[in-house]
Amino acid sequence: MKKNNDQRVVVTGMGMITPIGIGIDCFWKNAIAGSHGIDYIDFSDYSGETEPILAGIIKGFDPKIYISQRKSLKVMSRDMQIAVGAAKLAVEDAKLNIEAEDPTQVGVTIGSGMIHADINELGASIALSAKNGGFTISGFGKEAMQILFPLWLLKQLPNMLASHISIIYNAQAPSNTPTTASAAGLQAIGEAARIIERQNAKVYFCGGADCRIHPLDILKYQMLGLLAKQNGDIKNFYFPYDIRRSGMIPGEAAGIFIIESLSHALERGARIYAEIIGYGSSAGVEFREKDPEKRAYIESIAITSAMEDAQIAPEDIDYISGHGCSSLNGDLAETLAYKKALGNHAYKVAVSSISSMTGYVGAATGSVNLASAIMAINDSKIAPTLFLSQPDPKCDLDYIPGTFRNREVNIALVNTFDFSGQGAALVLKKFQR
Amino acid sequence: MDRRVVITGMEMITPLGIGMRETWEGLKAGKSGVVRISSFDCSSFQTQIAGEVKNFNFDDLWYNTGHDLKYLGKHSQFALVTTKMALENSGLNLDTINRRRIGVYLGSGEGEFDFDGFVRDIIESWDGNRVDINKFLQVGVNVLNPIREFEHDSNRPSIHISNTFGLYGPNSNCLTACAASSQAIGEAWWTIKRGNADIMVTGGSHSMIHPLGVIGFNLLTALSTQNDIPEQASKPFDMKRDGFVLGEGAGILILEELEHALNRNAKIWGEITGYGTSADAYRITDAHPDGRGAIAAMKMALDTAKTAPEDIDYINAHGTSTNVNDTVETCAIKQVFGDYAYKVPVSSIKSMLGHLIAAAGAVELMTCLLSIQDGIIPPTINYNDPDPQCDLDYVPNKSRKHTVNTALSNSFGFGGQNVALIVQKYTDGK
Repeated sequence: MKKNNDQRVVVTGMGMITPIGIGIDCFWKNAIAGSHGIDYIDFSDYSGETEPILAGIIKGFDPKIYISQRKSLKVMSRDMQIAVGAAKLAVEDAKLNIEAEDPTQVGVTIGSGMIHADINELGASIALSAKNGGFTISGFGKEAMQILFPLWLLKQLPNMLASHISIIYNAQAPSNTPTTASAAGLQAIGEAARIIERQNAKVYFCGGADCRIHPLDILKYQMLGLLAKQNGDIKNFYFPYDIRRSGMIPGEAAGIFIIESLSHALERGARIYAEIIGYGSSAGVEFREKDPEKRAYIESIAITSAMEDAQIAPEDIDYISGHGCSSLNGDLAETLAYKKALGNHAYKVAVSSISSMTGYVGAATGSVNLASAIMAINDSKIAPTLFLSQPDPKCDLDYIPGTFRNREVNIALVNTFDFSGQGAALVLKKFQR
Repeated sequence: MDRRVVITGMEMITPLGIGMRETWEGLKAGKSGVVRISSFDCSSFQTQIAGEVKNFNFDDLWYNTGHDLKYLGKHSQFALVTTKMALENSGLNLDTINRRRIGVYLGSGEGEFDFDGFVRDIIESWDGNRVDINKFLQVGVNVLNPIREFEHDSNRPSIHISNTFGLYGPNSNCLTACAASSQAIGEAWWTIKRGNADIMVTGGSHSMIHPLGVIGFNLLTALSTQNDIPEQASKPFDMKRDGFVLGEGAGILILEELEHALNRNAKIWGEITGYGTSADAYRITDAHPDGRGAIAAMKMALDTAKTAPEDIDYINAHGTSTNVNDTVETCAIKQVFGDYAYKVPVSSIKSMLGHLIAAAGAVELMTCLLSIQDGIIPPTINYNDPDPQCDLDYVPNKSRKHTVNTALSNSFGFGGQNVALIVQKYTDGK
C-alpha cells in the first residue's frame, strides 16, 4: 500500500534495561564489545543454599530512580518496574515533550509474559493455613485475606505494564498487551505501528518487558528440558547455532520504544532512527514438534508476510537480527526458515543473535533484537553472536561469530520465534525522506 | 479500506449452556447461570458463588487429534471445543482454503494455576519465615507437572487452535483484563480489513473460578458477597448491587472478508462496522469518574462505523454490577448519546452469566448478533430497585421484542482498558 507521511511510522526513541546495560548507549557498547550479561541469579530473598544458576541478569537497576511514588512501587512486580523504567529512558532518548502532546494521540502497547506471584508472599498464607492440622482450602481462604494486600491481584495482571505507563504519561490512545511469549514484544511494536498507520494515534510507547528467572520458571524450563546443561563457566555451555549447544538460559529485560508517524516526527524535528516498513506473524506448531522442517515452514510464513508487507525482495535485506537462543531444535528450525523465506540470499545476509548475550528474555526478546537492528542501521556495525565458535554444520549461515563486523545496513529483518509456537517478524529501513 | 468484514460462524460455552442455542434460550428467558461454587471448598471465602459452566466434559466434546491434551487448562479446553463448533457453524471447508490466509487472534486469559502442586511444594520448603529455595526447586521437580505449568500460559488456546486446525496466518493473543476478547475481535477485524488475512478465528476463553481468582478479586472488594440466593447476586444498574459475579466460558467468532463469504454462499450473521478502543490513563483500579476512556472508545467506534448515535438500536453494556462501573458507564452513554440515551435499550447479560472476564466481550458481541437475527433483546435480570444515578432503559427482567439493525457492545477492563464494537445486520450495497 502507498502510505503518506501520517501513515509512515518511524522509531525515534529507545529505552533499554537489559542484562547488557541500562540505556541504549551502554546496551550497544556492550553488544559490540561482545560483553555478555550472564550472571548468577540472586536468590537472597529466599533462604537456603542452592546450586548456582546462571541467567541473563539486569544489574544496577534501582526502581526508585524511575518511579517516584512509593505507593506505586509496591503494586508493581519487577516486570512492571523495568517496563516503567524503560519507558522513561525512551521518552528521554526521544526528547519527547510528553506534556505538550495531545493525550488522545499517545498510546501504549507492551508485550508481557505471565507474571508469577511472589512465592514468599503467597507462600506465607499457605504455610500459615497449614499450621494447625494440615492445609485446607478453607483455611487458606481465611489466611490469605489477612496476609495478602488489597491490590495483590493487580501485581500479576499482564496489562498492568501498559496501564502503569499510560497513567504516568497520560497516554489515552488505544492500549494493548500481547501475551505471546517471546513473540509478544515484537507483536506489540508491529501492532502499534499499524494503529498509527490507521491514524488512531500519532505516538506510541511499545515494546516488551519480562522476567523469566522466577523459581517457577526455572523449574518449568528445567523439567521441560529446555535449559542448557550448566557446567561451570558460561563459555562452557551456552552456544547459539553452535554444534555444542544444549539449551537456552533464561533472563530478564525491558525494551520500550517511542514510535511515531513520520509527519509528527518531522514536525517536532525528532531524530529518526529508522522506519518500520513491514510486519508479519504466524503460528502452527506444537512446542514438542521435533521436525525442524515443520517449524521452519511456520516461521517462514511470518518472515514472508513481513517482506510482502514491506514490499521488498529477499536481496534487499542486509541484516537479520535473529532469535538464536541456543535451542537444539529452535536454532536449526530458524536457519531453515531463513533459507525457505530468503532462498540463496540466506547465505549472503548477516545474521546474529543478541540473545547470545542476554539469554532468553521472553516478551522482551523482540525489543533487544529490534534495538540491535536499529543500531546496526545507524552505526554500520553488526553485533556478534557471542560464544559461537564451532558452528553446527546444519546452521551454516553467516552468524557473525564472536566479534562484531563493520557493515552498511539499509534494510534489516527482526525476528522472534518462541519455542511455544508463535512468531513475529518486522522489517526496518534506514530513514529516507 | 473498503474490505468489509462479516461474521460467518460463532459459538460459545457459558454458564447457561454448552453452545449458543442453549445459552440464547436461557438469556431470552431471563435465566441465571450463577450457582454456589462447586469446584472447590469455598466455605470460608467471602464470595461463594459464581457462574460455573455445567456438564462440560472435554473428552466427550472433543475428538481425538493425536495430540496429548491431557494437561490442557480449562481455557484451552473451552477454546478448542468452541472453535470446533464455530467452524462447523461457519460451514467452512478448511481443505479448500489457503491456510496462510486464516489467522487466529484471541483475547484469552491464563489457565488455572496448579494450586495443589504449588501448595505441596511450599509446605515442604517453608522454613518458618520464607521459602527455602533449595528445597523448593528440589521438591518442585517431584510435585509439579511441567506440561501443566506450561499449559497455564494465556497464549496456549491461540496456539492450540492454530495447530489443531492448521491455521497458519497471523496469530496473536492479547490479555487486557476484562476487555481482552473484544480487543482481539477489533484487531482481528482490522487484520482482515487491512488485507493481511481473509478469515480470522477470534474471541476469547477464560476461567478465574479458582481459589486464587476469588481471593484476588475479594481482596479488591470487586466481587458480590450476596451468597444467599446465588441467581440474584448479579444485579447490574440496581441500587443493591455490590460487585460482580465471576463467570467462565469461551466465545469464538469466525470473521470473514465479505467477498470471500459471498463466494462460498456462507450464512452471514452480521457485519462488524465499528471498533473503538482507548485507555483511561487514570488509575489501575478505578475507571475515570467521568468515563473519559469509555466515551472515547464509543465515539471512535461510531466514527469508524460512520454511524450516528441515533442509529444504534441496542447497547449491550459492560454492566458488571459493581458500583463504579455501572454509574460511570451510564454517565458515558449519556455523554455519547445525549437525549437518545434514554430511548435506546441497554442491557447487561452479566446479570445472568456473571462476568466471563477475558471471554466476556466475545459472548456479548454474539448476543448482539442474535438480537439482530431474532429481534429480541435479552434483559438485565435482578433489576428491582432503581439507582437514581443509573436512569436508562435497562430492559428490566424480561426480554423484549425490538427490531435491531445496529448494536454496540461495550467492554472495559482493570487498568483502564476500553473497547466498543459495532455490529450491523448485513445488507449488500451499503
